[in-house]
Amino acid sequence: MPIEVKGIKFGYHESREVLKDMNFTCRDNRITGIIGPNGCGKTTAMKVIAGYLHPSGGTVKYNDTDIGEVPPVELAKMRAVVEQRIYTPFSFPVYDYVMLGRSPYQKNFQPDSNEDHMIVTESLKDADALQFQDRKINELSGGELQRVMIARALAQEPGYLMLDEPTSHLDIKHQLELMDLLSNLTREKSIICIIHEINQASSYCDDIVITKDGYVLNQGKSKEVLSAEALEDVFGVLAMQYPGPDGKRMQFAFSLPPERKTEARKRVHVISGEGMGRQIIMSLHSAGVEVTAGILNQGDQDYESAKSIGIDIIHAPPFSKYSDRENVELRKMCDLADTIVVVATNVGYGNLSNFEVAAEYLDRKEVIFVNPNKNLKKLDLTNGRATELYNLFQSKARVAENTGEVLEELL
Amino acid sequence: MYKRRDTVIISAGLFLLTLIVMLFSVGMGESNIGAEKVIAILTEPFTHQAQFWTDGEATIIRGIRLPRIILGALVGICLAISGAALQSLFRNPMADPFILGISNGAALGATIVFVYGAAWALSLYTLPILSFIFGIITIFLVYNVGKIGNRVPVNTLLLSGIAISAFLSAINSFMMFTGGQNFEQIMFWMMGGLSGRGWNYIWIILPFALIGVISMITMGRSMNALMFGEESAQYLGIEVEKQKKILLVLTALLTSAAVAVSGIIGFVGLIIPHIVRLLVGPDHRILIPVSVFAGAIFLVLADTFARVVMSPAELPLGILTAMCGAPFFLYLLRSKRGEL
Repeated sequence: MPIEVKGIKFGYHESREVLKDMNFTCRDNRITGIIGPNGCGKTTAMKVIAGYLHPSGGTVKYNDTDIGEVPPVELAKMRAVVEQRIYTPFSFPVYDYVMLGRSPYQKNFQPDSNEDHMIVTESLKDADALQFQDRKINELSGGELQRVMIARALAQEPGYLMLDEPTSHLDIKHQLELMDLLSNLTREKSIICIIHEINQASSYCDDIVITKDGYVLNQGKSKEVLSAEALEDVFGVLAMQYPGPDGKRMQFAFSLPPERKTEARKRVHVISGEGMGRQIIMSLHSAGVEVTAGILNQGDQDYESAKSIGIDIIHAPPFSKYSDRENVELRKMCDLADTIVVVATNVGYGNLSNFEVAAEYLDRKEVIFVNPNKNLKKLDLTNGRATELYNLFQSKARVAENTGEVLEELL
Repeated sequence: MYKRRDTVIISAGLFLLTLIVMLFSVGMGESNIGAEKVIAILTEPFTHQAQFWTDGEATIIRGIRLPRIILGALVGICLAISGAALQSLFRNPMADPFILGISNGAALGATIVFVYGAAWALSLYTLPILSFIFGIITIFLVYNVGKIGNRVPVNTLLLSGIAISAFLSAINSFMMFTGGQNFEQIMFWMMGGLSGRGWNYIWIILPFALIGVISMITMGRSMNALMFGEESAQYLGIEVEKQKKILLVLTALLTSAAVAVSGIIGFVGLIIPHIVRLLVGPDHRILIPVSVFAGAIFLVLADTFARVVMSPAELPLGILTAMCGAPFFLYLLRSKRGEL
């Protein structure tokens, strides 16, 4: 029973359309995540899909039925919506609020049945809100209220569950629990979820719909749709991707793009590791500098990020000492570069040659030493050799504290 | 947790209490008549017992006090549940038919009848029907003026109510002023009270009260859903626009009927649901039935007090309720940060 959204248009005022032409499909028993910048119509789109707002054009179909033709009560049995936030000045009991979720199944004056009570208790349990059942709805914290709202939606026993930023008020544990709950619910439900946290979207959503300015830019399986490139396009930030903890789903790190760009064909080689250099690599690349990187061990976060933007990298196998061949490569790259950026990392015998080679260039080339904490606190596993080298950089190279300062120096 | 059984038990208890209060009030007055005598007089048509009271006493009880007290109970019911319904609809505990101007709207309709009365004699129901028409126009006007986007915030709602109410009240005064001969009669009626109302007034209000009470008791669940906003209610399968209109029409109906028989008695719709909410919570499935009885008891007691306190003179009931209600309203406004 997929949800099909075809060409919907909607505007709160006639002059300004919020949704211009949205098309997408939500597959059965999947979590479909809707992502996009603020104010691009995600919430409005959900209100249209849920049948609260009527589109000025286009159709929304649940399982081939146009929802415009379904009476509200029947619609309430098919889908439940968890709004961003609800408000009431009255101290309504949480339990009875969740019981409201049963109202599509009850006649006007009919009392709550035993079955209703069972479903409500079950829903409260699932949303981890059972402990609030005797409290009042207007006394709950944001996170507690969000869980209670989810319980009410579950009590509706919908085939489609629609949530508008369901994790926005939750602490990290409850965020993960909720996303797990949603994953489990896909056995019997289809879920549509507006979500801001891209890494959560990537970890939990099966499908992704990317919206912007009232249009759908892209949709499909999250593995195919979510990429650093796509996110840079939509959100206007620098995105770096790296494999997530499960090894399958991508995770992303973001930073603002550099304010200035350079026209000069400058070449910079970045020596880093442990993910310390990825922001610099991304920013320089985005600012128009020709960046090379290395030596990096495969699997290092810097390596993954650099790889995702397709620059030249000197790489070594994971966890191994850099070989002579790689050191020769490194010297070649440094010779070609106008500037060498050295980022402070922990140093062992494996990566020591990175810094030995860089030190050779101190008198010949512009070298920028990036040392995030003024006092060097990096681990030296080389019996003092690394510290010696770092002191050398500190005194002879130009020193920068962060990515911004590096850009300042270079551009 | 809401239980149907609790509602039934509490309502039954309150029903008995209401009867006791009414009985007690029938006996009270300028000439006190003992409870035993009152019961005997009231049950005489069924028991046919030997008369141990004077004919005068029987007339006072049956012809004057009893209709007045029944009328008071009905007016209390109408005003209390109108208030409760408005508060759920506007999601605002400060809503009340008087504060929102419905009472003044209905009063304007009634004044027209008084001033130009004979012109369209539509029998007994001319008064409530014209009150109703004006009441309903007022509530839709206030609602639409106070509405910002999809919400009806407390400040704009109260302001639009106050402004429209003041405007209507001015027209009302103007009509009374230029209307001439009935000035004092209308003035007294406007102050609100049940003095001298006989059985025919009960027939005016009874159908409205019955329709209102029955409809609202069955609408408890929808009113609960509306408390969380129109969007939420829609997602729960409620036809929001329809329910909203039904509730507004019912409220206007109840208020107008009350105004038609008793003039402007303010603040009952504010005080009663508020107290009931403190006692039994905001669930409309119990709030409405309990407000029915609480409204009846409150108005009967207030009217008895108004009859007795300055005896043989009478305090207009509207003045009394405003004296209690206005400070109460201010207290609510001050403590609005707290929960209701």
